[in-house]
Amino acid sequence: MDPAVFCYIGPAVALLGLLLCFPNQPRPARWLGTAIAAIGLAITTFGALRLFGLPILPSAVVPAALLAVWLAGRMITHRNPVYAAIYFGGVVLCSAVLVLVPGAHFLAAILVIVYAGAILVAYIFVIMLAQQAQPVDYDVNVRQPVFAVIAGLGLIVAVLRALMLSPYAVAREAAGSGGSVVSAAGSAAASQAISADNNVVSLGSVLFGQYPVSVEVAGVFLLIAMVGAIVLAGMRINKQQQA
Amino acid sequence: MGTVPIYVVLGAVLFSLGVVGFLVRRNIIIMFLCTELMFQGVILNLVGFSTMMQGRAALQGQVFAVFLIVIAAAEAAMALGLVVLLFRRKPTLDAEAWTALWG
Repeated sequence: MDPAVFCYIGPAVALLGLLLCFPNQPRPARWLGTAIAAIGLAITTFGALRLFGLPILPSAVVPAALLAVWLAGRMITHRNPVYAAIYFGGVVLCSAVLVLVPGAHFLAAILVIVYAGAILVAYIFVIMLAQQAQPVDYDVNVRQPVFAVIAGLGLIVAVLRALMLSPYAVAREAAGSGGSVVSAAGSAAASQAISADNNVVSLGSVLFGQYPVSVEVAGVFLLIAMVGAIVLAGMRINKQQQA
Repeated sequence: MGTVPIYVVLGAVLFSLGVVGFLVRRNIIIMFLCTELMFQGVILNLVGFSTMMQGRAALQGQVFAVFLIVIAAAEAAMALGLVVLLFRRKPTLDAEAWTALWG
């Protein structure tokens, strides 16, 4: 059977399961949806591994990728915003592992420190500030789930289709010259990135050697955002504006 | 084999889940968390494509990702300031409580 078929059926099944997992569904439907989503994820993984020949990857990549997708699904379907934030922290840690594999050490570190450390904690602070004591209807009810899931399916299938047309679809032309050339170049670049003695030093020299103006602009940007956040959060509200 | 496809596929899946969550959920904070999920997808894409490059050019994608994290931090600060302001005017996080501009 053509592995491309799995890459179309799998996301459709997984997103059907996601539809049943949304927080407006009763508990049995959510369990069923979880099972269906797991089956869809397994079909997609099988198809992608057949189509793109990925089993030669480092062993951490596929489990981390599957865990990231699973945690992201839990995040968008959980009723409690605090749990959603925690699951997002898990997604960030998984993507830090994935970023570490090609040798981007500095990026992995700032993903954990800045994303999971700073941004996520800011979110959790605001959730605790604004959280209601009991479950509220805007955490349970959803809007337009079917259309949203169809939009998501369209995005995923479009990217998978584009990849199938690229030279990376190795299963189609197992001995094809185009595919092997590109993949050889890719693996050579990856091994070079891993063997680069210090990713942090070279990234710093590129950042401050080639893009000093952009670094300064980014700093000013962060300063403006900080001032804006302080001004926004500290605005006075008079009584008649308060509904 | 190149590692590029798994990064592109995973980036697309995370981005799509972020879009689905943004469209579906009504809690403002979860909607902003979903935009952060989309950022994660884009970061993975940048890192994945940078593995195709050789030598110093392999770092361009990582530099882009660093600037993306700066933008994400600024966006989170602004968004949370806005959420605090909105919550002080109406004690709810429902995105549909703010419909004054609907036609």
